[in-house]
Amino acid sequence: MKSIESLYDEYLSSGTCDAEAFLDLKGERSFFESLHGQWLKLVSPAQDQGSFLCLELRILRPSPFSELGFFLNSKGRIRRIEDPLEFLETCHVSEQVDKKNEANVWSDEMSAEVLSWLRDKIHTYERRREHEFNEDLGKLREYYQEFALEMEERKKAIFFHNYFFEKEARLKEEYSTMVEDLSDQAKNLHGRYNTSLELNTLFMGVLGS
Amino acid sequence: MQSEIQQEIQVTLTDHFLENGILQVDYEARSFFSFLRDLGTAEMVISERIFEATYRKDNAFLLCVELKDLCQKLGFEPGASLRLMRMRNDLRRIYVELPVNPDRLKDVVRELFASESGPELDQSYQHTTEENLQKLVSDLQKQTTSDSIDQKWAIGALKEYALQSFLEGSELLGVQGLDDVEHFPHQTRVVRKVLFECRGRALLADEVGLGKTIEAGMILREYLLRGQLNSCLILTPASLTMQWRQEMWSKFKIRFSIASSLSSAGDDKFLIMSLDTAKTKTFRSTLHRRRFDMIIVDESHRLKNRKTQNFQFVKGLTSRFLLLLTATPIQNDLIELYNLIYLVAPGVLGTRRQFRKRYMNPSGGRMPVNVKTLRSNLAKAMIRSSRAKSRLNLPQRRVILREVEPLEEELKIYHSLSSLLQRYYPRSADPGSLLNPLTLMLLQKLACSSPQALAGSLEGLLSRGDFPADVVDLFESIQELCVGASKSRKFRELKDLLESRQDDEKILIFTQFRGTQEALRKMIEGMGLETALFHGEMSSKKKSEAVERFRGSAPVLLSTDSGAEGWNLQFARILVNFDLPWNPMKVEQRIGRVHRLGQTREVLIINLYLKGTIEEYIIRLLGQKIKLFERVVGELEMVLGYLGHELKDLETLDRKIMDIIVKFDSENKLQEGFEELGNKFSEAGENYDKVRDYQQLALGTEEL
Repeated sequence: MKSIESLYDEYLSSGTCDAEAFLDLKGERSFFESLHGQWLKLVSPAQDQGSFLCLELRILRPSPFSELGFFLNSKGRIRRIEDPLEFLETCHVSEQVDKKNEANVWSDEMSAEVLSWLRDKIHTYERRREHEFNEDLGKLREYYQEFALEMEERKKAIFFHNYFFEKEARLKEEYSTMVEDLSDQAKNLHGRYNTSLELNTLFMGVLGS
Repeated sequence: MQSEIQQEIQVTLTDHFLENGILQVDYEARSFFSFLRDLGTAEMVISERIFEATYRKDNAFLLCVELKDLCQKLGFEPGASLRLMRMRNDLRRIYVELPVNPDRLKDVVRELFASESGPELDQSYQHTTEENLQKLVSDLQKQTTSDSIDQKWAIGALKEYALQSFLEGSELLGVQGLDDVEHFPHQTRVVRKVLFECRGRALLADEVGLGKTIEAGMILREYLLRGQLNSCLILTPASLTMQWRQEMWSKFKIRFSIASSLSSAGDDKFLIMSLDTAKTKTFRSTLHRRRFDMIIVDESHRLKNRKTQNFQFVKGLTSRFLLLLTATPIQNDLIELYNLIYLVAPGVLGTRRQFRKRYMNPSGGRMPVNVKTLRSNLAKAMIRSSRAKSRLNLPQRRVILREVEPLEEELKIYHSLSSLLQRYYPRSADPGSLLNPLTLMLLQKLACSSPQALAGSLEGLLSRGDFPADVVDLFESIQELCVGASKSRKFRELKDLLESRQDDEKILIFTQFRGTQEALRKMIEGMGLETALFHGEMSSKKKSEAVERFRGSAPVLLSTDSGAEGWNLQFARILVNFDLPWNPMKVEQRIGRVHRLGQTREVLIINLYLKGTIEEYIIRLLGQKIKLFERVVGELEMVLGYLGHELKDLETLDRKIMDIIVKFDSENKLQEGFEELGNKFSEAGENYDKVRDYQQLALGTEEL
């Protein structure tokens, strides 16, 4: 079985990934799924001192989306690391790192930064979903308008009919069924487009020199 | 307004008006309605709203249904009077004054118009609130652990994440790891289209035999692997529930339960039900209350009519994803297609009336017009692969019917058993009867398979039961005859066939009975040919080894019907039906092992049947009436769908055949009985053929 390192190296060099080998490996042992907020003590070459936090935002529906957020609080200044993998690979482990920063991982500033990141991601995501929702709702609305127009025409036409009151009753029934139906469809649309999301801590840690 | 009034009248409301909106105009009032023509229209203004009215000059009445609705809503009784006013500059506009408080009138009019303004479709997308986001972050802070982790592990996890993200964006994850499931490019196309274009809601209308079940399973698995699905309801015809469960498990490792109780229908996440059961009063409301992630409806042409319970029931179900599966979305009328699409994506084809106007032939023909637009709109919610376009046309089938003259002993055995049947079958269902219907049926079938298998079964029966003396005598005499008949002509025929085979040719031989299989093995191995055996008592490992032997060194595979399902043997092209099951589905399953996607050579089906026995009738039924050997695998199921209710269950067919054998003792009558049964199949086949051809005419041969 190929290792995750070799699969990743292949991916970097060829831009493709052997999906079957990847799923085999994942089925055997998933690194990712065993993360639940464990600690790391690292020394950064850039002399960073403080704490860090790696989170995963996972949106399950209406369409899947996932993003990692890596936040670093170094000497009271918070910044987001764009490439967490590169960052981790440049650091090394040290048991000597001062533990005092552990308590600062979730400082007020860090919480605010995480919230702002989350807000930004969700809003961007939901803007796209809102567009799709409106598209689908638009189809329903258009359908309804066309239907209502048709009903108007048919309503006018029934006056030419000898048994127009029976016809009118039938039209009314058809109309109310349609109204009920479309209300249900619109409600379902909400159900289908409701965002369901998870936010998980993958790992966190302290940085020292 | 008052200054411009040219004329006014008072009218008194009658029962007649309050019932149907007809305002009778008396002689003096006729000058008020100075319309020259019959059916002239007028506008009645009430509380700044316009109500339309029609004047029928010949009958001297004014018709305004909306005014009637308003009066009803206001609670007016007969005798109440209205004041109608006509303006100088507009003869067609009539102002109406009602004896009611103007504010109340305004409210009621508003209410009346609101109720006609349709459903609340001015809803807007619900964004995740700031409070929810804050809560997510604060909840996260509470989840703490003191565990530590290796740096390499964290790096591995990030690499895994990167690869997973890459694959999710570019690959179908569900297709990976499907080694045991034969799948084809057209199926992958369908999965992609459903996922990325149809947003999980589609009508899958591939031609018969292109694997819609596999497609549905692949889509289901894809959503599962992407974490988007936690529950699924599959609705099938009653006869297919077990098959679906078995396929979902064996091919996709998804465990479904078949709902048998209200609690399982209410709670089970992966549920299979027959549509007929699901729509019953017992289950309907429970299922309507649930919200499934996905619903799959097999044979969904049963939802073609919007007025049926089937349609209404499925319409009432709630799910994010919906897959409707059918090879024949249009049975008789194009509007059926509209109804199916409406369930999947309402609005895509416009309103029903628009659909009729735009796409249905006004001269009443069933062929669509504006086909190009129709197809482009259909493509938003419907996927149809065709054999021709997918380059999945199967090679030809050649069928050989080999009539075998039975030995004298074989005929005697057959007739002895037939007389036993005629005597005992009518009483076999009685409690305490030692010869139950199934046993008798089995004996009749064995008589046409091999004397060896029959002798073995009779021995087993005699050792188990306390039969009447005449039955024991008969069984023993048949056993003796079986010894004499052991050189059955069918064996000789098969031997000739095997001797004339080309060296590299693989031959798959099917029999219904283990006893026959064993006798055949002895004979074939006696000829010096290696033989692989396949039967239901073997473990799947042994079965797989047998298939591998057949693929490799063994030129012959001897299989019972338990080998007919699920195994792909298209590397062989010659199939011998040593005996014939009465159930046409079983015969089709046998053929389906070799005549399936992936077969590149002409397939040869050799049917051996004993002349003058029931097999002769069965072969005629299968060949001429059902046209089984001419049909594509998968079509038979569709044909059976067109049978009358009394024949839909194939176990009933076995019984029906037995009934004919027992009821008609003469050759002529037997023929009549089978002819009548056969005609039902012919009719069903013709009906299906018409519908199949109609799909092609209406939808074209191009893929959607």
